[in-house]
Order: sequence, then structure tokens, then C-alpha cells
Amino acid sequence: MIRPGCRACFLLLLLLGAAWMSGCTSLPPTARRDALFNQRQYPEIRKQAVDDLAVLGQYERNGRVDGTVESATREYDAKYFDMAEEVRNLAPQAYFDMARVSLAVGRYTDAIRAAQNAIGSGASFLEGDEWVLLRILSLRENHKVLYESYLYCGNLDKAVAHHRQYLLINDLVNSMPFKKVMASLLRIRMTSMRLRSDYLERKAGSTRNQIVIAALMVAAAAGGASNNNQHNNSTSTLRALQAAQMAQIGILAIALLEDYKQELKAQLNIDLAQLMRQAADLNRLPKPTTADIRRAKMASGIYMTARISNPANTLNQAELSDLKKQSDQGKEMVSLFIDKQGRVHISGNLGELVALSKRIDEVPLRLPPPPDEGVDAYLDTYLTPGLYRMAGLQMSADEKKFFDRLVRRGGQDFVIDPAQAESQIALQGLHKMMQKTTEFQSWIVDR
Amino acid sequence: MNRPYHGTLRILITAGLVLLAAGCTSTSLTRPPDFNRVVDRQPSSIALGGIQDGVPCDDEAFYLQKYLEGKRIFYDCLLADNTDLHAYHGADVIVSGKIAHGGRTQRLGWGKFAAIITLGGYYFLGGPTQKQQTSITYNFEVYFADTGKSQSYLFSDAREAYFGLYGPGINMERKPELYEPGWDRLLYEICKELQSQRAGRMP
Amino acid sequence: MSLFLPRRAGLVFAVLTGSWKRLGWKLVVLMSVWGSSCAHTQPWVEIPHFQNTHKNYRIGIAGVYDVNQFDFADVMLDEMERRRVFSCVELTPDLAEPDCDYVIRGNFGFYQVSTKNAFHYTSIYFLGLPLLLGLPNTNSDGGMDINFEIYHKGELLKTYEYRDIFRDQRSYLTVWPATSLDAELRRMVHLLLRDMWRDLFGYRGAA
Repeated sequence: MIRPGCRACFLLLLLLGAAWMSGCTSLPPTARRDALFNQRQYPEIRKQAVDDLAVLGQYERNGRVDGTVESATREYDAKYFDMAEEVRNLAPQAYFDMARVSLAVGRYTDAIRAAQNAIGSGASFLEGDEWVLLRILSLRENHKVLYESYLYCGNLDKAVAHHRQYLLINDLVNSMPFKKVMASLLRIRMTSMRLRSDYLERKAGSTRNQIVIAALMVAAAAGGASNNNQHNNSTSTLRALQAAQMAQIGILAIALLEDYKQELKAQLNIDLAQLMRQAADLNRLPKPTTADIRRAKMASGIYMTARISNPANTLNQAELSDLKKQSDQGKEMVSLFIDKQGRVHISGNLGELVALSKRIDEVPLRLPPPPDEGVDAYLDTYLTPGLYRMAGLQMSADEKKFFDRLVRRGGQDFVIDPAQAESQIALQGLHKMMQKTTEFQSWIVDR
Repeated sequence: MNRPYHGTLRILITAGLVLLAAGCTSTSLTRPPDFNRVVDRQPSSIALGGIQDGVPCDDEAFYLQKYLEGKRIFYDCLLADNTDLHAYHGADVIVSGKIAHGGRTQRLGWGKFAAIITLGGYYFLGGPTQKQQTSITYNFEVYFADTGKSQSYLFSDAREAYFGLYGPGINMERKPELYEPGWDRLLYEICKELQSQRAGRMP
Repeated sequence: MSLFLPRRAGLVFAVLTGSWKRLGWKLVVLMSVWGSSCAHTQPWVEIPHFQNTHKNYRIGIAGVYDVNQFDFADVMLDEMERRRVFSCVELTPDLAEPDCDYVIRGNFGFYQVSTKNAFHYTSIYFLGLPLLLGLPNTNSDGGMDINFEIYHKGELLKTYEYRDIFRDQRSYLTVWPATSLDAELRRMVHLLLRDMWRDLFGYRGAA
């Protein structure tokens, strides 16, 4: 007799638990893309970020955020400070997510463009004083993406300029006066989160009470009695109270920031507004110095790899000469012809080109370890823009597999038909190999 | 015995006409008849420069990139650096441009009248009560690396829809799907040009 | 007094005991389902990743400061010593400490807000008894942003940044510890060790 009821209760409670769990294991939308990035689910991040960008039509043309905004994934009420932070950060965060995904998969020009747009949209959406923390953190992470992207595109000047900006902003964020700004804004964010949660809870409670009261009144009317006691917990009263509190928070945020901006100026001689204007003006970044160039190169992945490389595995002079000879023949190794139907005819020694490409890929990993003293000479000799460009043209695993298969088939003539499924992989791989050979030729000339 | 049948038939015909009227839409930028023949996979890569419309804070190039990647026409579709469109990628085609988008909505007096005299029946059937007109002008600049020359393409898409309760039958304002006809036409022109360049190079 | 229960009473007792046992097991299953309710954007990098690592670096920790400039370097020191990755880890105020191969300095911001949910407030009307079911009644939202700087002979070599946003739901019967600043900091230290392992360990690290 107990069992059917027990089973029903168990199922009901399991469902309740599942409902609770689904609520508690969900993260805010911007944090969801962080989680996806850590799981390397890059296509999903791009899709969500582009969908979020499409929501921009709801904003006013000059980037003002008003009222309730519905994004592809969620609804935001901009009057709450923490939600206003999130909604203003929708566009900059979407662009930044696309930038870091593009960087992770080696699409450096896409990363540059997305990071530039992130900085540009940060300048319009995060303009007010109360968003300064978000804006500074956004500038810092986007300058880092730009540094790495320009480095692997072979533009050392721009890479170093962005690296310099990144370090400048990093120092500012870690300074004591700015930490006070951060502490205040975090407190305000927490207050807003708590107020919003309390408001939603009291609203739900008020609705529940009203339902109970209405039910009691119906029951009393049915029973012939009357009840004059009514709680006056209307949601409109709550809403007015919340609006007043939100206004207070906004004023408090700006007042606190004014104080700390003065302190930043006095202690560090930094005008925060000017710093952010300069950091966002990508066309007028200050020219880097020799020390900046050294720092930027030493922070790169290639330098870190060279530091821990095995001296026994380093490229010796004989190997370099051999590579130089091979690369001189690079342009004559294969010839390309595109017919009227768009088919690409490759004739020549494709196998040699593929082998050369693989050897070129190894070059950044087989540099001699840097000396403890006189590291500038080492950096000027080995870590040139050409080397970074070569390192940035690494073929993907699919491209390598395709060409290995093609070479194993043997023969001197190949045809790539764009209509075939693997044609995109093939053409991309071919393009990279040709570019890499050109970059390597300019690098090896000075060895 | 036939009267109820005739009466029902008349009501059904009227309802059908109303529904038909509700779906009245037109769009001027349509696919050319040889679209499927011309737009085919190309052995070229494309880079996208700045493509701005009236909303300054979003970059249409991101939507165009997603669209082109879905079509799988070019083997690579990149976004170019805003400060130097030609740098780093070696793409065969570089596109940049502007999209101007405007429109207006007007209420139809006769539609409202019809709704009143049918006591809302016309309205709930979806009879048209509004007329919306949207005009989108595309102005693209396309650079072909093989010839070293740029070409300009100008298209315009005039859309009109009569609708009532259930909204217009075509997309009148939702981005980025709104711009797809323009991108289709751009793709058509680029593919046609690439094919003629290849034909011109044949011995 | 008879020590033996009447036969019928004995049967009824056995049946009742079996049902209550089954109910008890179901409740345990439910509580464990409700209890597993914590989400982070950053993973917890497990200990086996660091086994058999080469220990050949001396690391100094110059400070791990929060927004109020309180120093949590002892937490980082403790975590690094527990994982036994480096040959020596010590606290040092000097970024150019000659005895250390690398000196690490960290700065972070942490926030956490705990609120009660509808179930908690409803339970009040029932003298709090439903809370004994183990359904979650406290929701915690928070995040940590941290930035580590690695110095080599006084010069900044590399920086590592991590951000973790978390959400945690707990009941009065949840036995494992809640998310806290200490736990988050240790999670960040694990991430740092993972990336330092990638960047700094190589043939030179052979013991």
C-alpha cells in the first residue's frame, strides 16, 4: 500500500531535484562561453557570440542601453547594476570571445579584427565612469590578443605596441589605488546581485501571499464570513523601493570613482580617462622602445620553448644550409594552373614541397637555447618577424593528413576540384605551404 | 437544402481572399535565373573589410563571414585588419562596403474599416491593416588580386508587405537575414567576375 | 512477558521495516542528486597530472594580494608544497631573489553572494521541517579574476590570467565544503601549475 505512493513521491522529488539542479548548474551566458572555451568547444562559442551580436538591433543607435534587453540566450533588466554590466558588456564580450577563439585556432587576421571591434564597442558601451573596471579589463585582454595575433602575422612593431599597452594596463590594475576602485565596484556588484535576488524572492512571496489571500477570501465568501485583514505587499511598492535603491547605487558608484580617480592621479600620475582613450586609439599607440621589443619577444611562446629546448636537438649549420638549398628550389618545386572550370592543376614535386613544409614547421621548435647574457643579440638573430610568421602558418592536422595521403599515392600531377569535399582543406594547405616557403626564404637569408 | 452550403462556401471564399491579401509581399532584389549555374565553388579565398550599416556598433562582416562559410564557395573566408585591408592574408578577393537601410510603416484606413465592420473577424483572420516599406541599398567595393583592380557594385532591395495580426510574410527588419539577398547578389557578381577572369586567361 | 512477538505482528513488522529501508535508500539517492550542484567555468586540474614531474626549480612567492591588499601567499605556498612540483617553494619579498629561479606574484579579485531561495522561505511556514529533506535552499554566485606574474632574475617573463565564475547550491545536509576564497585560490594555483608545466618544464627539468 505504501509502495505506489512512495514511488510517486520519489519520482516527484527526483523531478524537483532535477529542476533545482538545472537551475543551479546553469551559469550566466557570458560565463557559459568561458566554460566552453576551457572545454575547447570553439565552433559553439562562435555561433553563440554571433547570435549575441545580432541582438544589437535592440540598442539605440548611439549605443545606449535602455529597459529590458532580450539576447539570444537570456533576458536582462538593465536597471540592476550587475545585469547592466552584463548587458553593456554583451557586444565587447562577444567580440572578445570570437577574438580568442580565432587566436586559439590560428586565424590571426580574424582575431585582430574581432579584438579591434571589441575595443571599439567597449569605447561606446562602457563609456560611463561606473563601467571603468569592465572597460579596463576588456582593454587588457584585447591588447593581449592583438599582441599575439600581430606577432604571428609578422608585424613586430604593432605586436610590441600592443604588448606595451597590455603591460601598462596590467600594472594599473594591480596598483593599490585601482584596487580600491575594483573593491568598490565588486561590492556594488554584490549588493546589486543580492538586492535583485531579494527583490525576486519577495516578489514571488508577494504573489504567493496574494494567491493565498484570494483563496481565503473565496473560501470565506463561500462560508458566509468576511475577512477584512489584507496585507499590503503589492509588487508596485517593492518596485518603487528597488528603483530608489538602484538609483542610490548608481550615484554611489560614480561618487566613489571620482575619489579614486583623484588618488590615481596623485599617487601614480595617471589620468584614468586619458589612459583609456590612448589605449583605445589603436592608430596612435606610442612607438615601442628596445626594452619593449625585448619584453614582447621574451613573453612569446617561441622564446619559452627555446628556453627549455634540448641543445642536442638544435638545428645545426649543416641542416640550415640544407634547408636553405631546398627552399631556394621551393618556387620551382610545383607549378599551379587553374583551368576555366576552377580546377587547380598541380604539377611538379609535391612530395618535396610537403617535406620542406614539415621541416620548416620544426624550425621554431629547434632554435638554440638563449644565452643568460646578451639575450638581445639572440633575439635579433633568431626571433625575427619572419620566424613568427612561419610559426603562424602551421598546417592543421587535417591538412597534413590530406597531403600525406596525396603524396603516398605518388605521381607528378594532381588536380584539386573545388567541388570535392576536401578541396577547401587542400587549397588552404597549399596556400599555407607556398606562403611559408616565401617567409622561410627571407628568414634563412640572414642565418 | 443548398442555401447553407452556399453560405458556407461564400464565407470560406471570403476568408481565403482575406488570408491571401494578408500574405501580399514583394521584394525587388531576387536571384538571377542563372544563379545556381554561376555560383559554384571557387579556388579562391576572400577577405572582408569593413561593411557598415546604420547601426555603428556591430560589424556586418561577421554575419557575412558566417553566411559565406555556410555556402562553402571560397576555400577560406577571412576578416581583414581594419587598419590595413591587404595585409597578412594574401586573399584573392577583398570586399568592403556600406549598407543603407530605411523604411516606413503606414496604417491602412480601409483595413481598419474592414476590421470594424466585421467586428474583428477580418483582423483575426489576419487581414492587412498595415503597409510596411523597406529599402536597402548595398554599395560594395570588391578588389580582385589577380587583376589588381577594384570594382563597385550597387544593388537595392525594395521590400513591401501588407500585414495584419500575424505580421509580414517576409523579413522586413530582422538582421542579419535581411541582408541575405544582397549578399547572394554580391556572391553572384564575384563568381561571374572570377569565371570571366579565368576564361580571359585561357590560351 | 513473552520474548516472542506474535507471528502476525512479526510479519507486519518485517514488511514495515523493508519499506522504510527502501524509502531511506531512495532519500539517500535523492540527496546525492540534489547535492551535486556546483558549477565552475574553470576545471579542477587533478593531481595525477603532476605525478612524475621533474623537480628542478626553486620558486619564490612574492605575494598573492586581493583587492584589499591582504596577502594570501601562504595558501599558494601550501598548495604548491602539497603537489610537490618544484624542488623548493618559499616566500620572498624580493622579485629578484638570487636563490630562486622564478618568483611569482599574484593579484586577484574575488566576490561571492549567498542568497536563500523560495524553498527556504516556504519551509519557514512549516517550522523548517522540509529543509531536513536535503533540498537545496542556499544559492551562491561568485567569481574570481586572478593575474600571476612570473619574474626571472627580477625581470617580468610572463603573465598568466584566469577567470572563474561559479554557482553553488547547498542544503543544510550538504556534507562537502562550500566554495570559498581558499578553495578558489587553490583551483587557480592548479591552473597556474598546469601552464607553468607546459612553458617551463623541459629537458632541463630532469632531476
